[in-house]
Order: sequence, then C-alpha cells, then structure tokens
Amino acid sequence: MSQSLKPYLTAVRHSLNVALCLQDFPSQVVERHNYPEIESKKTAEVLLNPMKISRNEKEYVLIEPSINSVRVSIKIKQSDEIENILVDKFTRFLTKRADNFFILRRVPVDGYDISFLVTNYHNESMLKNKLVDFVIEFMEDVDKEISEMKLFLNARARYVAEVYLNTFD
Amino acid sequence: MLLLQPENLLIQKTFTKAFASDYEPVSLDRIITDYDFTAYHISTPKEKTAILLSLNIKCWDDLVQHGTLDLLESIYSKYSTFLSILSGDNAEPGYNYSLYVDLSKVSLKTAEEKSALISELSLLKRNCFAAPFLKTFARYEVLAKEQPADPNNIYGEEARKSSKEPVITLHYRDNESIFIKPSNDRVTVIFSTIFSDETDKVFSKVFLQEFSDARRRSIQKAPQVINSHHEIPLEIQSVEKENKDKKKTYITFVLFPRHLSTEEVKWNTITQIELFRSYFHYHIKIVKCYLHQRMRFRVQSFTKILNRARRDVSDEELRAERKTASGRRFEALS
Amino acid sequence: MDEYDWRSIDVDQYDPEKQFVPDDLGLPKYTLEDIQPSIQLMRQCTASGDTIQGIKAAVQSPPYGAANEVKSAYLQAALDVLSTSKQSTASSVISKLSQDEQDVLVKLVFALMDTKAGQKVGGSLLGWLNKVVEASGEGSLVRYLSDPYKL
Repeated sequence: MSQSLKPYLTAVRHSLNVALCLQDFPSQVVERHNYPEIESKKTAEVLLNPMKISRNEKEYVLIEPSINSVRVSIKIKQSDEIENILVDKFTRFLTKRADNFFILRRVPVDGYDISFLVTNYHNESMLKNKLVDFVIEFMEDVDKEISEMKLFLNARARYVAEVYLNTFD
Repeated sequence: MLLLQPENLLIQKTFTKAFASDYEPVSLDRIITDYDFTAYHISTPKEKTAILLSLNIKCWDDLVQHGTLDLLESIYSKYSTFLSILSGDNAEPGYNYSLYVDLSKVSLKTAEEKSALISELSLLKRNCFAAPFLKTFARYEVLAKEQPADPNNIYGEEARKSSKEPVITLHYRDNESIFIKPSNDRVTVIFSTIFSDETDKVFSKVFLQEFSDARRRSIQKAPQVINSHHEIPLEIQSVEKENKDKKKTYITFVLFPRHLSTEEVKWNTITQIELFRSYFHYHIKIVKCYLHQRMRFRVQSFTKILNRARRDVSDEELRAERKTASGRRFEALS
Repeated sequence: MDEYDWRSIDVDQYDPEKQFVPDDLGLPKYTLEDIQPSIQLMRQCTASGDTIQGIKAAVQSPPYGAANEVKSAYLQAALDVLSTSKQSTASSVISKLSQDEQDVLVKLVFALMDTKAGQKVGGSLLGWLNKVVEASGEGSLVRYLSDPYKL
C-alpha cells in the first residue's frame, strides 16, 4: 500500500464507523412511509453534517450521514483519458448489477463515480464493521484494478503491434 | 487467433470439398461475406457440377482503374480449360467479377495443384486489391533506377522530385480510404479510418502508439508506422482535402526497399498490409472483450466481500461455528 | 395558470406548522475586520514555526456561520498553519489541546478538505485527522456530525 493511501483509508474508516450509527426513522412528512432521509432531504433536522475526505484533488470521498441512512460517494482517481474510460466502464458495470450489491446506489451522486446508500435495514441485516471493511476494500481494489487494466491494455497493444509487424519479414 | 487469415475460410472449405475425389455434386447457393464490405456468392446456376464464384467489392471501380482485371487474368487464365472468367457485363448480375468452375472438366492431377488453385480462389479478394499495390511497386522500381536512393537518407524526408507522383486512392469503405504513393526510395501506404465509438478511439491511440514504437524498440525490419490522429499527412494533401469534424485517423506505413525486394516478399507485404485495418479494429474489440471479462470477475469478488458482511448465515455455517463452552466444536453425526 | 400542473405543487412547503426553523445560535455577524487579529496571529505562528500557538489561535474563535469570503480567508490562514507544520510533531501538539479544541480542529480539517486548496495538501490534513482520532478516539468525529456551529 502506498504511503499516502493508508492515512486516507484510515480516515475514511473512522468516518464511516461514526456515520454508520443508524436507527429506524419513519418519515415525518408522509404517514406510514419510511424514506432514507438523506435521499429525500425533507426533514432538515435529521440530516447531519457531511464529511468530505480528500486524498488529493482527484480522489475524495463524501459521506453524508442522516438519522436512518448514509450516502457514501467515491471519486476514483483518473489521471488520463484511458483511466477515465476504464473507471466509467467499471462503475457502469457495477451499477448495472446493483441488485447484487444491496448497498450500491444505481446512479452515482453528481460529481462522483460511484455511490453507496446504506440504510438502517442494511445495518440490521449486515454487520457494521464488515460493511465498513467492504467499502475500504472496494476503494483499495478499484484503484488496483484500474491500474492493472491500464497496464494490460498497454501490454496487449504492444504485443499485437509486434506480432503484426513481425509478419513483414 | 492472433493474426487474421488472408484467405476466406468458407470458400476454401467449399472448393476443397468440391475438388475431392469423392465429391457428390450438390446444388449450392451461398452468400459469403468478407472484410470491408466484400461479398461472395457461390452457386450452381445450371448443373450441379459447375460452380459459379462471384465477387462484389465496394471499391471495384477504383481497382479496375489500376489494372485489377489484367492481374486476375494472369492468375486465373492458366486454369482456362475448366475455369472461365466472367468480368464486366458477363459477371453475375449484382456482382463485379465471376469465376465459373466446371468440375467435370477439372484436369488437375496432383494434390498440390489442387490446393494451389483452392488457395488462389480463396484469396480472390486479396488478389483484387493487389493490383494497385503492384502497380505502385513497379513505379517505385522505375523511380529508383532514375534516381537511386541516397543511402545516407533512408529514413529521412523523401526526395523532393518524387513528391509530385500521383497518389492512388482506394475508397474501400464508406468514409475510409487507402492511399498508395510511390517514391524513389520507398512506398507509402496511408490508411484513413474512423471510429464510431469514443472508447475505441481512445484505445486506438494506445495501439497506434505501440505500433509506431515497436519498430524503434525491437523490430528493425518492419515498415515504419507513423500515426497522425487528425492531421492529413503531407503525402496525400493533394487528394484528401479536409478532415471533417476531425473524425478520421490517419495511419502511415512506410515500406522500405527491403519489403519490395523479391516477388515473394512483395506478395507477403501486400497480404499483410491489406489486413491492417481489420486486424487493428479486431484487436481493439478483443481488448474490450477481455476487460469486460475481467470486470465481471472483479464484480463477483466484490459480491463475495459484501456477502461476508451479511448476518443471515445459513444453518450449516452456523452449526459449523457453534462451539461448546470449552471451545470444542460439535461434530456433525452422519 | 392552465399550463401549470397544480398536482405537482408541493403545498406542504407553505404549511406554517411544518417549517423547519433553525435554532438561533446567537452568533455575531463576523466581518473581515473581526477575524483580522486571529489571522494575524496565525500568520505570525506560521512564520515562526510555532505550530501549537498557531493551532490554538485557529481553534480559539472560528467565524461560525460567517459569509463565504470571511470563512475562506480564515480557512486559508488555518491551512497554512496545518500544512507547514511537521507531521512528526502532530501527536505532541494534539496532546496539549483540550477536548473542545480538538473538536474544533476536526471541524477545521473537514472544512478544509472541502476546498480546492485543502485537497492539494490532502495528505497532511488526513494526518491531523488521524492523529486526533488516535489521541482521543472517534468522539470528535461524532461531535462533528451533529454540531450546529458550522464553518
């Protein structure tokens, strides 16, 4: 793990730990409804201060807590056009399968690449520390995956070019 | 499959069967497609023993201008006892060129002769495209004699005089063309290609970069590859006026005398260079496919991590985890 | 009025009973002049490398709820203090801060990470945040979440 990644992930871990204290909270606006308050934003008094944790200008996480739901949005590092495309493809691939990822939000929050929405129900059916582990591991692996894919693309292109040019003998 | 094959596999299969000694004549009607909007039609219009192979190429008119008919004539006329060439108005309607093979009169004895004919038939498309290249190569030889190449300047700028040589243009796809230009010390082949997909465009940059670097790095004998993404290369500015919306990418191959030395080398060069566009696009697709597979795998592993967080473990797992106070596990009785 | 879909009007937002009235925090209206002394102090401490005094000055009386330009001037000065200090001394500095001062420090760090300038030095800000958690647990973060005194 690189030197600056560790404090970043530690900070995200602490913040998630704090934010993931959720309880059931029926909507105060519509009777017999139960909204994730962070999404509806209709009851201002149950929304908490958002936390933005930045590693640098290109990588940051926004954690928006509320009484019964937390929204975690991640901006993945993209340093060039190719990483841009790879991140876009990868996150789209994930969001298409949001059904398997109970906590994945189908559309990322504006300005971010991928968002998770954890509600009190998720917190009831899943272990909180494991959920935090998941988000941390996700952030770690996505970076790794993107750079590996980029390396693969270059290696493959080189191999393909060499094979073709070798036929001119 | 890394390299694309220049011959058409279906034609090859059909004729291999037809020329076999135990062939039972059947009536055929097959439409076969090849790269770059090329279509073949194999049929038996009259008798079951006479096969008609017709070809349609998008840029046929361009090819005819540069002597394709003569070249095909020279290749296929040696089989004239049983193979008749139908070109121009005689060709099958809707197609540019037809070869009519009468199986009952085939006079080939050895297996080698047969396979030579089969490969010539399956390489019909390549042969059609070869004519303009051969014409340019011949022009290069004339120019090289007139003004021998300066050995100190092999990779440098091309001689001023030959820059007036006419450029052959083949509009082989809707908006994409091949340009061929002779010079006294090289032949330049330029492809213009369009990517409809934005992702492909970005990936193509990576690929082209590697194509131009490969020569510098290790493969000295390969042609020089120069890519200019949106700028029209100097050589073809006389024929290609504008690059609308900067959509086209230009790829220049510089063929050096070593690629044009003998007949055999020339044919190899032609075969490979014709396949370039298909090869290039094909591999971009493959890479995307592979990345997709990779993502699929990664998504699975993420699902596993998330599932670890779930509280509702199955009964079986729970039993495995249940322990006595002293830490001993229950052994399942079975 | 015909083309306006009356069904889509959110009538509840005009219901006087359902208005959210933020608590009156009793904050003075900060102006640039008001915060000048603390900015001056922070600058001096930055120049002399006195991190502990600089941070104490920064967490003394931040301009809560002030106008944006006041806040950003204050944050810029606080950022200079935090980013120029050595990471190795952070633990000892934090141990000299009281609980309340640590809470304000966390608040400053989160506010800074939301700015472009702060993101550039994200590494050192993260360092401060983690050191506070190390020193006194996640309590400061919890208090940050529900703190009405925002920067």
